[in-house]
Amino acid sequence: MIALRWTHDGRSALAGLVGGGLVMLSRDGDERWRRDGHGFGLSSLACHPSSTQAVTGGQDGRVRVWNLEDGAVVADLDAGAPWVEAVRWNTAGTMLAAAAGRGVRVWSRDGVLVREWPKHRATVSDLQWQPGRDLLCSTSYGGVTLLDPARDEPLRQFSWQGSSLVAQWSPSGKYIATGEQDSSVHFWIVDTGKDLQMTGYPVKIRELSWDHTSRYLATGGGNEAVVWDCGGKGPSGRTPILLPGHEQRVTAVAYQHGGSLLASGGADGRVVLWQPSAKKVLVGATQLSQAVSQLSWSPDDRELLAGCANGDVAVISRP
Amino acid sequence: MTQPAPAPVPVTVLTGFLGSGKTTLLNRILTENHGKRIAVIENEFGEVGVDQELVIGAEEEIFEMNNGCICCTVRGDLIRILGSLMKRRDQFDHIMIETTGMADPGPVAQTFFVDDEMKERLTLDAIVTLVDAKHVWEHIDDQDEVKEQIAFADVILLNKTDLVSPGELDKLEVRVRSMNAGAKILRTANAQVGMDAILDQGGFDLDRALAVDPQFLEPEFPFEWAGIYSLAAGEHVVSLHAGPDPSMQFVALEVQSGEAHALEPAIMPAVLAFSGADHPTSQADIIVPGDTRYDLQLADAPAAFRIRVAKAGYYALFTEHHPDEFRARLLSGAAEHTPLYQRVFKPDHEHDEAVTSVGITDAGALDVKKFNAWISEVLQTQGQDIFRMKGVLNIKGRDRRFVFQAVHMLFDGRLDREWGAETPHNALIFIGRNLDREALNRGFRACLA
Repeated sequence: MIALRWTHDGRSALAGLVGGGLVMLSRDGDERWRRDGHGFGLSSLACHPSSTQAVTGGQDGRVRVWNLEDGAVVADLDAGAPWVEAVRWNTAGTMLAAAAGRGVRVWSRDGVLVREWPKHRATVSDLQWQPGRDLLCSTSYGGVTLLDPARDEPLRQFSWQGSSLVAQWSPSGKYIATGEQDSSVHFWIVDTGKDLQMTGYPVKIRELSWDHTSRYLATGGGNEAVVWDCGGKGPSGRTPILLPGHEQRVTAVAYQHGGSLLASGGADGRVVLWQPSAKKVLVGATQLSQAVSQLSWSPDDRELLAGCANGDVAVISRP
Repeated sequence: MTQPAPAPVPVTVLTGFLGSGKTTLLNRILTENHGKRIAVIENEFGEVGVDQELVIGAEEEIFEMNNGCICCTVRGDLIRILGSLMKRRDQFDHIMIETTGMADPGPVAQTFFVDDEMKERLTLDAIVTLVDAKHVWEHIDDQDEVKEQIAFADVILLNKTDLVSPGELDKLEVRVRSMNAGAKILRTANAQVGMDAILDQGGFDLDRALAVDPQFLEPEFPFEWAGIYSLAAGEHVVSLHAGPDPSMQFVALEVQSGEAHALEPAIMPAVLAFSGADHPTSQADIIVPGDTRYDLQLADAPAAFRIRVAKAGYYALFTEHHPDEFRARLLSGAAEHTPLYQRVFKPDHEHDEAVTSVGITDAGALDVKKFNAWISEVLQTQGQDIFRMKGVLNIKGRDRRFVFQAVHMLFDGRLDREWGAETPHNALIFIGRNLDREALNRGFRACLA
């Protein structure tokens, strides 16, 4: 399973499968419909924040917008390169962005191309909207690029010699955290362009999640989930909170939208709930059938959707 | 509960200069019925799903790694594509990566050592290099890419054999062998080769390479050149000019014919003869074919030395240096002979900067601490020049084989199966530039327990 998301109302879930298929699941696990989403493979999926639509990107170079009521394709867009890496709605749901090859494209809600930045310094590995604002950051080998859909030229470049794999804006917009191929986490301070590099991880980092207060950043990058405290003077010089709850690699981390619970999933099939800011950090744990690949909190933060590599889906209630 | 980790997927890397036949071979692999499902990563975007095979395009992206290792570059595009491919692990049995003609195989190979996901879930099965037997000579001396592609290979296909003579092929094979003594060398026309010669090579397994060609770890020969001549009974003359040395060692041995294969049985006797006692030889002396090494004195060069042949036949002459360095000629009266077959045992001196191999074999048990210290130092100081290194080690106190390979400074080793009936031994090979054979041998032997 490549992606698993709640719909905006938390009544159903949408799963993207490795073979390219797209499956709509009801709240109690029934399959509502199934579509051959992207023939050669689906790579990214995002549900619209306030309507029954979703967007997918695939290794066929297409970006497709779906009506989730009936599984019909509402828009079929050319991403500009044969391999779409990421598709994202902005917070308001008025714009859609996709990264493919070395380019990034932004469309309006109704599929009109708003802007294109065709030539990044290398293939774009991730793309994220700033929460609540219409500003994008893209990652690639060579660092982070800030993109403003109102401008042709990139707004800013945060350069460093390394391969940034994934990015997450802090909800406050102050930091952009990146997970790196060289087993480190970078914090870019957006205002100043200064950066902090956190090393010591055993493996590359592809799992990042901020809590809603922007104080804590949770990461994977080993058999322990790691939480950085960015309060006060920031994470520099601080020892992170280590959460040892997995016997194998941590494969997913997810903070609640509005609460302080953190969920971590591992290759060992375990899903563990934590409250890293409290003294009693371990809240609960569940064993699933296979390596966990996806974690997603329901819009009301009551339930956690977990997807396994073999396609199994579980809904875990908050204790 | 979770299942045990699935076996790593073998990966074959296909390299070769432009026009060497990579596409022909790839099409063959994709269309031939070999019972394997192969996912192919091409160096440009190809058609998807040829005969139900997975074909993915890649654009070469070199990433420098921030790990303090100056030569550590990896292919970022491959990390991304292989990562995605491994999510559909059940759809294929083998992965093949085609590189561009100008690609340096280093970053491709290093990708499998540096990225944790690649290390865990994939295994570099073999680097297969195609060589255009006709046109490679235009590039072999001045194109680093060609040298590196040959040096990195586990399997080398001398392709387009239909366009060159057997003699030219022999010459090419000697040259290629001198650069990479560890690879399996095959001759092909139209890239026609059995899949079992390319797939499942277990790039790691030096013993398999030994089984293919037991001579592959050639010792350093005490002679640089041998040629076979057809000589009548009577006296002949070896004429020499002054050269880089004031003397030259010389051995003559009778062989069965003037063909390449006739030289083989004479090589070991020649090595023994060269290790024999000194035998300073002046122009007054007579050289007789046999196991004596003659040290031709060249202080008064040009000089002529007489060889007396008792019966007509084929004779192989072994010389310490290449005859060209002394403008050496073999004469019968006024007539000059040309060799029916000749072989160079070491690259010419002008190739000292070029790619060579150093092989070491020894039966002794190794002190693992000493070996670790030595190999770390070798890789740290010479890692940029060492393209590949692989071997099997006999570690003291272990009843299992230790197998390892390295690409530049990156080292990967593990305990393998038990020695069993096999006699424990060490066999290792270094392939690279500026290798100091003597120092590597000395360093290795100092690690014996």
